[in-house]
Amino acid sequence: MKKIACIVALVVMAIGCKKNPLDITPDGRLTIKDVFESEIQTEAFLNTVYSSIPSYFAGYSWYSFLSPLSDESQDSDVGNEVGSGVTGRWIVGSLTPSDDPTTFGSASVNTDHYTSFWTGIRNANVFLQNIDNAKVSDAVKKSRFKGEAQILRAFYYWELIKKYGPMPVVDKPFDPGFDYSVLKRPTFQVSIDFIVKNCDDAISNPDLPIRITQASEGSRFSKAVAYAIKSEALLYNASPLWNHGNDAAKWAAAAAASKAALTALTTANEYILATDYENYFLNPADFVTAPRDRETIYERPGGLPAIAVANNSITAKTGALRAGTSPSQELVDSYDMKVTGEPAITGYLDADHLLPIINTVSGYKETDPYAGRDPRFYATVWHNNANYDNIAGAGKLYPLQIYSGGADQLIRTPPSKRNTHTGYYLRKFINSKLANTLAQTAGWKKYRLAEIYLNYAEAENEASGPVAAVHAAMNTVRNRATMPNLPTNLTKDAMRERIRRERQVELAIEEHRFWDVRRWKILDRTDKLVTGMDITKNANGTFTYQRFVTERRNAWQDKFRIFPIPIGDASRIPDFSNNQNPGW
Amino acid sequence: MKIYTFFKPGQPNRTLNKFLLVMKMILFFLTSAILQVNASSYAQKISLNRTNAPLDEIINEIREQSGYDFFYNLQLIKKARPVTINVKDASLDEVLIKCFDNQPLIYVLTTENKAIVIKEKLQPVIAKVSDNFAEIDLRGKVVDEKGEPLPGVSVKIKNKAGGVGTNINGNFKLIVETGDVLVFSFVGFKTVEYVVASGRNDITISMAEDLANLDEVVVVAYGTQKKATVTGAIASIQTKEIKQSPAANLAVTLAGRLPGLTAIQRSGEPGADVTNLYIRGQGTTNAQSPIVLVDGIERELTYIDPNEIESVTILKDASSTAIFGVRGANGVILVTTKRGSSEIPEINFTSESSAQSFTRLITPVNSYEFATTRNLAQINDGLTPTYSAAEIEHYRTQDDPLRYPDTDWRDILTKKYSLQQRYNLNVSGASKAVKYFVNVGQLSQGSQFKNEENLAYDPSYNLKRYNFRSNIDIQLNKTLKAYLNVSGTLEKQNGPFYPPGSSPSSFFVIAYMAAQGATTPGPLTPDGQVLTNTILATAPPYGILNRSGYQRLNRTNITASYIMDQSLDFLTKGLSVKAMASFDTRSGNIFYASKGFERYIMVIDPVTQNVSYKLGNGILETPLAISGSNSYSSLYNLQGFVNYNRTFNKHAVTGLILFQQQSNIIDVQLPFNYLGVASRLTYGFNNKYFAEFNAGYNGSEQFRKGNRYGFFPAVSGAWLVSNEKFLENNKVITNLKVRGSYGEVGNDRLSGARFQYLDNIAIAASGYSASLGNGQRINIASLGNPDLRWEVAKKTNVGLELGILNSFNLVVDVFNEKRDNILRNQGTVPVLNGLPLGVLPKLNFGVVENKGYEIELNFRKVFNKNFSLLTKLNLNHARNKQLFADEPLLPADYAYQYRQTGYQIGAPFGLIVDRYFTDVADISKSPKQNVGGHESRPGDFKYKDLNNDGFVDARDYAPIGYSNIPENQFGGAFNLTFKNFDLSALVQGVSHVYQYFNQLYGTWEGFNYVKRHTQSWTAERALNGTEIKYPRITTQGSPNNLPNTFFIVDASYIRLKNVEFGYSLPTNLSRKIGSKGVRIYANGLNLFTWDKLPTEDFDPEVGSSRDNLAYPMLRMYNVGVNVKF
Repeated sequence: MKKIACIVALVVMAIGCKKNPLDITPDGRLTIKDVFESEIQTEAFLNTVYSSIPSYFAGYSWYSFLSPLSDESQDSDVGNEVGSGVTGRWIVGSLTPSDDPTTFGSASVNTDHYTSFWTGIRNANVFLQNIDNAKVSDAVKKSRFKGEAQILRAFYYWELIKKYGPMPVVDKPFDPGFDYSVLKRPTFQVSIDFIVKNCDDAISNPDLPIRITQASEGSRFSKAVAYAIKSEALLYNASPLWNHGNDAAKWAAAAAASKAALTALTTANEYILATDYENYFLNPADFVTAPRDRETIYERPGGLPAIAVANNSITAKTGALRAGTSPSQELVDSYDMKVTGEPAITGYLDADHLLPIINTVSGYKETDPYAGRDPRFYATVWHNNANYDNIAGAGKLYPLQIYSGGADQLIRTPPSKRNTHTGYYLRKFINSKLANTLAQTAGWKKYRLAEIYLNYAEAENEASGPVAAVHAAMNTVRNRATMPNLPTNLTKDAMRERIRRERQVELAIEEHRFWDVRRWKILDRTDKLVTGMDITKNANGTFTYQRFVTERRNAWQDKFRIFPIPIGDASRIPDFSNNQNPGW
Repeated sequence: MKIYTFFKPGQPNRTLNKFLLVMKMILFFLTSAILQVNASSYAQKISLNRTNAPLDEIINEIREQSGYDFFYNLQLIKKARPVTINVKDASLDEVLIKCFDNQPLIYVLTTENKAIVIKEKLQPVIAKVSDNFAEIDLRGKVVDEKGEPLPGVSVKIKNKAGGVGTNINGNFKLIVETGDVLVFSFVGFKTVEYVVASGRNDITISMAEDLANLDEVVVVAYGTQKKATVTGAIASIQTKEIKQSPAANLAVTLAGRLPGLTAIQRSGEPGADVTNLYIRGQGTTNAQSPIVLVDGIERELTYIDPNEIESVTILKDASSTAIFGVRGANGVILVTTKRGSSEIPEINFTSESSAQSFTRLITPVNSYEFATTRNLAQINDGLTPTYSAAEIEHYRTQDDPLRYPDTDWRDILTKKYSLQQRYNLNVSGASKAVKYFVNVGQLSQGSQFKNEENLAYDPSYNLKRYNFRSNIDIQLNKTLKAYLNVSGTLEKQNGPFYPPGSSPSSFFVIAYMAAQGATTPGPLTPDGQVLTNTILATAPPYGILNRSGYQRLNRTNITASYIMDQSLDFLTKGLSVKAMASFDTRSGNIFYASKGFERYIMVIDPVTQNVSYKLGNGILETPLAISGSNSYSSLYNLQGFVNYNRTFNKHAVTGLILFQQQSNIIDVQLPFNYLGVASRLTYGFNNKYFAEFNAGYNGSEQFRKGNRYGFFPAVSGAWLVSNEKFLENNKVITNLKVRGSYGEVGNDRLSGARFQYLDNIAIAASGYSASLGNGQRINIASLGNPDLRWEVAKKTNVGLELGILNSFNLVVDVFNEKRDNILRNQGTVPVLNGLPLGVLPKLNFGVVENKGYEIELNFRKVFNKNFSLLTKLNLNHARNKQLFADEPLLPADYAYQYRQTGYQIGAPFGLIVDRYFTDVADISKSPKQNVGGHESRPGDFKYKDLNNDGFVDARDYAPIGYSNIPENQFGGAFNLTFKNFDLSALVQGVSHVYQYFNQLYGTWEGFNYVKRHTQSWTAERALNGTEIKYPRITTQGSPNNLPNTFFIVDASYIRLKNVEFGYSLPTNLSRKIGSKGVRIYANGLNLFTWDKLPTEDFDPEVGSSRDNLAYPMLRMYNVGVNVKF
């Protein structure tokens, strides 16, 4: 046996005497602990916290905006789509806990908001948990990082609960063994309180700037973003959807927050409304000490790629792929008359919106519907016979031929995705002077000063009635667009209507209408159908206008006010299933 | 000690039958002390003049002059007296008689073997006995049941030393005594005993093949074992069966042959004809494929020349795979290549030519049917039809083919038949010192697609493969053997260029060919430019095939193993050690030559009807642009064996300890390393009771230090009932064995990333802000699971082997496997935790149960000299169930609250089609079909509202059938020989298998139409009661193209996989051309298929989704000739 042992030992030595071959050199991986022991990597982690911000803009599937999911517009894919476009799926009411059409986004990031917002919250929590002990030499820098992470956490929470309703407050990363079954959905107020607290912490942070003044720091969160989030969140908290008893205190809190925001932002003209409404959306924010753009509070970096431009283009323009987002007649009807400042159309006599209630004192003429409207109309909508710049070379004007038989005509059947389905094309955001093959540099203006004015006006009107401050805020926004002041004799209800109309006009296509009609609980009035305008050119050169229903929709029921919690988590967390949002 | 080598370069064929003698002599060595072997050259007459010379010197002289080899014991020769001799041109006999006169030694001369054995003169008692019997110079012939001579049969005299082997003609010569018992034994035949009678010196022995041959040796892990003693579940086939198939890919030839092995071919593309192999179905959600060992080393199977293969064995249960420890859980495929064995050198030349065609190919409708069907779709959508009545009439009558063509794209782009040729030459032989098998092979497989002639480059799909192998065994001295196995493969796979991506270029050619309607003119304009239509503007298949450039993949694969085997009988009998070193390298080099080409679209002027062609898009003609990429991998493997094999009376003991280290480097990754020890202990008592213990103790770098090594034991036993007294001479039950095994085996091939026990957090570029962290961000790709372990399979197997009447042989195996520790995503951790599923550490908590059985029934009968029949039927079944999948329970309003837990791996889920909607009223009073974002219209599927909530949505998804890995497979092989003719066939089939033929071209109506689209739902047809084979067709989205019972279909099939018909030339004829045998044969692959698919456009075996547009399976007709020299 000794001999055998010898042989065995020899063989073992021959084969296995070197360093253990299973010990493979590490390949440069980090741990979270490593990250916060390095200043550069700590900063890099803050970039990671930022990286869950969605694309917004024309970032939904096939370069759609979110807008066609509201009564603002109609997507030209509808009727043509062969795959699974956002709009086509949405309007037939295919939203379910297991299928959210808005998460389809071939050309964008973080389209699955539920997942990406929770990822952002966790990353913010990891950052906040470690930042105090992180190796960052400069205390001011460290404090600023902390403030940014707090705002980011508030931002992700806010965007999350805006869509899904109240969610458990998560202020530190979960431990691996955490028992998720203990989680309960709180009240909306509790979620809002958490957002407000994060915003307040940031607002009181002396190391956070009120605005970014260096190009390299462009689009990092400033104190102003905290004000904007707080203003919007408290407004929603006071709105009918989340304020069942119409608690005036909630409106007062919202008004106070927006007022404080306005005070802080407009001190020394740090923020001020841009003078040119149309051009404002065509240019990126600039980050210098004395910037051209003082309106933008937060712009998501990254402009529209060329393909997104070509997918939201008028038909006759070279390189057009789709008409894309086409403003609806409902949006067009919401613009006031410039001279009188009065609404042109105040409502509809019929359910199909084919019989408009024309406000005769406004000066609106049904035979010439596009004359004399709010200048923001011309900045937002391409209508028939509007002069399109640069269609045949720089400076050459081209009157759009949306009338039947024209080069940009509406084609109802068979629907063509290259032609409008409403009689209008999108002008806002799309720089007509640039070719369809060029990307555009302007980013998505997520928060801007005008919204805060409107937030304030709405909250203050509800809290205190149409007081002077409400008028002042409204008129500030209207005057920038060279619109006259509101009449001074408006009742609270009339003022509410004017404020809602003002939001519809001022914030068109900016992903506000979709949420506003939900928090106002008016989906059943706005989302059953959209109409368009069929235009015929007469022999004498004049046009005849005929309204028509371009599409009936099936996503207006009460359950569509709040998105269902996705089926995954609804089946993983008992309370999410027991307290699933109503109707789902 | 003097060592003479057996190796005589240049004269390998000088010593017929030496091999057997050597075998005998080795036996001799084992039972005596040290013996010396002396090999010689040759001469006819012997001249010698010596005085008082030592006998060994004399022997040396005789050896050199005569060419005869001497075998003797070194100790023995020392007893010899000195020899004085003086002869000139004497015969060998003369000389020997003189030399051995008066010696204490005798010699035995076998002229057949040219060997002389020197023995001690018999002891007086035996000498006395032998004196009583007369010596007989016996001549004999050994034949099989058909009367064919059997070469290489061992002929021994019972209880005496010595023996001979039969030569090529089955003849032998032996000096025997009356009353001696001759024992004739040969692998695969029943041993025959013959008592030598006086007066007979010319005998013919007929040997019968033995179905339950107890001496048959089978390949097991890291060795061989007598089949009778095997206690585990294994199955194997031999080269003969493999070679009945002309398939280019070896893996294809295994389908239906081995009970327990499922082989599924997913593409027929030359050089990319992927075949997935499963042993006993699916046991895990991670890597399911078995490991493949070629001559003991993990190597690829597909490229091997079938002529190189001796056998393929699959190891199925824990007993046979535990020795592979952490790698054996999915079963093991052992490929053994041929080695030289015949002392008669054999040269084999084979030449084969095959005509190949597709088994199935999408068959689109003609242009008239296309136009009418497209119009119907548009009318269904409420749109204006595209084609006017006049245009349709043109398509129907074909009176204006320029403007209204009926283009048969299949005919333009594909060939009816293409050629495959295969040549093989191998030489094998064995002398005492050296055995060799040398093989060279060449395969060229042509394209099934037509290519333009006169192109400056070759874009055709084709494969050329060159193989060589050289397996050499050398007996260095009587205790030391060396083996050298070297093989190489060079593959050149050619095809048209297509941008590299997830699918091979053939996918696009097939897909776009299927998508291009017959109304598209083409393929070329009168100027020779590529024509296309507006829908496929960028992807005309003709252009992809011919004008887009080419790509060529060169793969080279070199494998080499060197083995030394040292007997340690001097330490203790039966002990030996062996060491093996292997170095393999594989490199691939893909070369792209891409080219832009212009696409034109035909325009018919609406007024003049003039035809013109306009450039379809901005793509212009460009010269070839060259690029490429390469891959490389290398493997080294070191193995050290200690083997023990000894029989003490009734106790047979074997033992094996194996140390193994392997390092595999793939491209530029850190190496994949293994280290481990494996062992096997077997014990047999009286050839009736057998017990085995197998264990692997090994580890891999996949796991954390301290967690790396695992111990995987298995125990097994067998009872050879037929060796018991009560059955020993039973004429009916000729073999009966029961066996059972239980053990644990591991699987460390965890899907995806490496080092999953570590966090994978890295610095990544393109952070949100350039002002933070140098513009970088931290990417949390995944978090580690420090407790990461391998999967553990607990396997039980019970087997029964029954042989009846020496004709029927039944093997039944029943198995049960429970695999736990399966690494899976944490499905119940909510998204709310903030780490996406892919980032959360995976945990070892999945559990899968897998049960089944295999039945193999063989029937073999030699009816007479001219007629024999062999039938092999096998059936296997494996059903798996996921017992734990960490899947959240869906809410109670879901018809099925789980999608995995409790279901088969990969079981498809979808909606259940109830019927077609008849009209609008029908839709409005039916549950709302909230599926896929498309409103239902008449003619669309009415799906079942399984949960009765008034809505059809994801809550109504139900399990539909089985996964795309079949649960059942059967094979039936038939082999019939009649005189010089032989006929064999293989029928193979699968069932309990479903495929999802989804909305891609050919199944979906978006681009082009096939037959069943012309039989779609219309109100009229529905009213008339005409058979409806497809829902309402549309040009838009519809609720129909979803996973549902219409598109997820039963893909069971039965195939006539192979037929072979052969004729062997009569020996006298083949001799005339100097050959030992000539066989001419014809065989075929995939000749007929019967299936249940609703369409004949696809082969049921080729996979689902995108893959149903893979290069289709090939049918082959092959003729070949095999010549032996």
